[in-house]
Amino acid sequence: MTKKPLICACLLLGCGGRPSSWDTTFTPTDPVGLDNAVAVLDPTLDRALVLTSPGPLELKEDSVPIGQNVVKAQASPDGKRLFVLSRGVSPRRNPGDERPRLTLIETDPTPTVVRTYEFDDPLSGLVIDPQGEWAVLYVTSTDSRPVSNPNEILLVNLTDLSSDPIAMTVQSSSGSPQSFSFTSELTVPNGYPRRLLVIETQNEVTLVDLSSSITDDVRASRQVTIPMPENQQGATGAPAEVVSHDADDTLPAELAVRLQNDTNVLLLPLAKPPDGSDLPFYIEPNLVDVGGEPTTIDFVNTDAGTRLAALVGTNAALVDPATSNVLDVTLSKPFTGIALVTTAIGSATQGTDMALLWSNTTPTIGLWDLGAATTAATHGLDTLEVGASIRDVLDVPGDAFATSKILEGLSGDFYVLDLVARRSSPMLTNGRTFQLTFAPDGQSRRLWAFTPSGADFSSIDLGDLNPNELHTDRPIWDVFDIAQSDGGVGRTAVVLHQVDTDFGATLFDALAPDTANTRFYSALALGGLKHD
Amino acid sequence: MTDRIARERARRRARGVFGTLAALAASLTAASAAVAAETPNAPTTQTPAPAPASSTPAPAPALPVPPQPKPATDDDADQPAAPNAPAPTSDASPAAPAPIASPDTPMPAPPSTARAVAEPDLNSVDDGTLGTHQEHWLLGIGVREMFVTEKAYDPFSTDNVLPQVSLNLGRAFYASGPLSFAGLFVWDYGSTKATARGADASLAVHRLTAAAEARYHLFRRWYVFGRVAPGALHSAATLHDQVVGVDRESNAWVFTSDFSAGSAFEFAGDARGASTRPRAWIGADAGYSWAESAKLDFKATGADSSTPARLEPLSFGELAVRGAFLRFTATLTY
Repeated sequence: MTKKPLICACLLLGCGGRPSSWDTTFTPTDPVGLDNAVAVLDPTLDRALVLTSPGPLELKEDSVPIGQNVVKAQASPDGKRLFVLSRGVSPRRNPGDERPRLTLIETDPTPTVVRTYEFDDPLSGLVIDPQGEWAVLYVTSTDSRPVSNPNEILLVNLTDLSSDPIAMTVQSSSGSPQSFSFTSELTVPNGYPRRLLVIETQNEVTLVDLSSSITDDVRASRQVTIPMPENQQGATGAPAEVVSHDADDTLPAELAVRLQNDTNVLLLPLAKPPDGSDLPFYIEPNLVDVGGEPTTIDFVNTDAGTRLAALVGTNAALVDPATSNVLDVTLSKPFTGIALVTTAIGSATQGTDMALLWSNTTPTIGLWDLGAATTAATHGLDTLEVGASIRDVLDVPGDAFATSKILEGLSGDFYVLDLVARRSSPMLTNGRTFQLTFAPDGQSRRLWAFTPSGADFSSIDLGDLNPNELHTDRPIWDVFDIAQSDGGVGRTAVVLHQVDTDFGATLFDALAPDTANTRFYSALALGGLKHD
Repeated sequence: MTDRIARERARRRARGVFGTLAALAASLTAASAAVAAETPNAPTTQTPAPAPASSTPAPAPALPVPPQPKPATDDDADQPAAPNAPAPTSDASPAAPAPIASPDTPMPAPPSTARAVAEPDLNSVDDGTLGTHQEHWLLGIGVREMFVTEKAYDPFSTDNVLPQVSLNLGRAFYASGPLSFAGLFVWDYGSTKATARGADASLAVHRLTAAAEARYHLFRRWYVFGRVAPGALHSAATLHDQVVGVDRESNAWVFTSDFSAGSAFEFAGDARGASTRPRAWIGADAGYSWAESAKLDFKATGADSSTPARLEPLSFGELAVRGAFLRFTATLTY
């Protein structure tokens, strides 16, 4: 009785408290770099803070809603879109409880949610097609339910945002999806060229037709599942790597599977289906022993035709897909990685490939001219000593430095390799392991190298390879090189700092970074809550 | 006669606060009863009023004599509802309390106590006038609760409340019947603190206003008022910047104005309008406090070499410390 007037009085006077968001704390998760923005997830408030730079050293902060209980955020390969996968409220007790969802955010011209896909079951796996056409949502081991279908996946067609996700169950007798990859467009014997989704389970490889000319039901029913063969120890093989190659004048399109702990590779040509069949292709598996456990495989165009190259110890086994004949090529070094650089060097007109070989066991790289792989005494291999074994090879985005590769050494040093000049320029780091990042479009012509929690970092002009030492006044969380929004032609380097329950940013001119020309923005976790 | 003596004795006992309260109750009762019996401004032998304190007081008589009616003067003419004269008509609301002293008040003391009664305290004699109930200097202190619903206020308070202490000093300088006017200088000070996503935030507000107050006495000890108080407001906001590691401040002076209405009750003081002794009041008012918006751009304070170079101001938009308020005040008047 006595409370009622008091409550009324409070309401009249506005004694209602403040939004609960002020009482939450910012919990940092890995920020995501986009083409013209940096997205910092703020999961406690179910939002993404999107930082853009509308002008030189200017920072704009937008708050974009995302789903509850975020499990993964990922940018599209071109940096134009941000995908945020969330589990929603689980278990749902009320009709209004949020369902699991995939939120699609675009940042041009302003950060906006362009589509939200809702589904029934929480999924934690997300794979984005490198060509940006498809996304796959799948069940992971963290998705615990009373009754679970581990082979449940959702295919999202990103070329048609009005379409609903395609639910299907991966055909697998004993496993569940472990890895997803997308082929390029492959020529098939019966029908239009199409792309395939390759799903690796524990003991199988399943192919899903991504053609737009078939219905979703047909897509689900036309899955092709290839069980892996037993290895030399009698155990059922497990796929470790799948590569593909389009058809040429002599060979059909083909896939090849490298098997774990197995000297065999599995060739999967997309052969012509039996007459009368409406299937686009028919798989004729072919197992080939390459003489040892390969560390990697890839299809290459050699002077003898298309071959599957398998790096085995100090050799490369060149497998003829048509005959399964194997030609061993001695490489002198135990290379463990291979990447085709034909287009970068511009030798594609010869019809044969150039491959970059590297090793995580020896400080040597090789440039392999496959046009001489089967004829020359050196098999077309040029080697170059570098200061350290190579952990990974990075492409430089964009066209400005297509002939450059960044070699990440196991020692922490890294190397800028010029494929044309065949010169490796070391960047010494005194043993510290730097994280390397580029602008997604390569427009700044720069490589950024930083150590998390350090205050010093470097910008390397890929033109003259001159490192520019830079400094920030707070420890570095992450570094991003983004295009200016709102039509700006410049670029901005956003150096994030995370301290306690807040974060800030130091902004540099990415085209001419200078420690004496920066701006520092702080308290960014309060973005969107402020009355601005 | 016996009743009168008893009343006089009771009145003498009723000195001090509690005595005043008792006297107040008696006055109010008498005033209510006397409204109908009030007479015009002219003196009357039926209900003579003692001379107001402003007039030259007569020396204390060795022996009390019935006070003589004060003839009307020019001063009285300037104040149609002068405190020493009840309202001429009964529909003049509110009626000034009628004097309760009878023509033969004060009563002569018995011979055995003639010496003590020979120096009576005139302040104890109710003259039935508003007098210093109405016109007086005043000094007040109070508490003020303000309810700020501005979004920019959220970092500093968890409940939209700005508690303040309020001091005021002024004078009721003009009276006309039950109506009077006062001018006051008011200083309100309050502060609030909270955390904004883990960062300490505080806001201190000074409000300096010059208030104009119109009062209307319903009774001698009870009046209602309306107040307009334009002035200046100084806000000092502080936010601890976790990233930079310093406090950041934003200060501003803006125009402000309060609009309120309230009431005050005299709980201690002589009934006699002409009394020169202090009076104590309690009051409350409520209203709306408007203030200009001020940009809330936090700048670093105590910056040193460890502060990041070219630290951008932290903008929280605009803060307007405005909203409804409620104030309770204890006031001393003289």
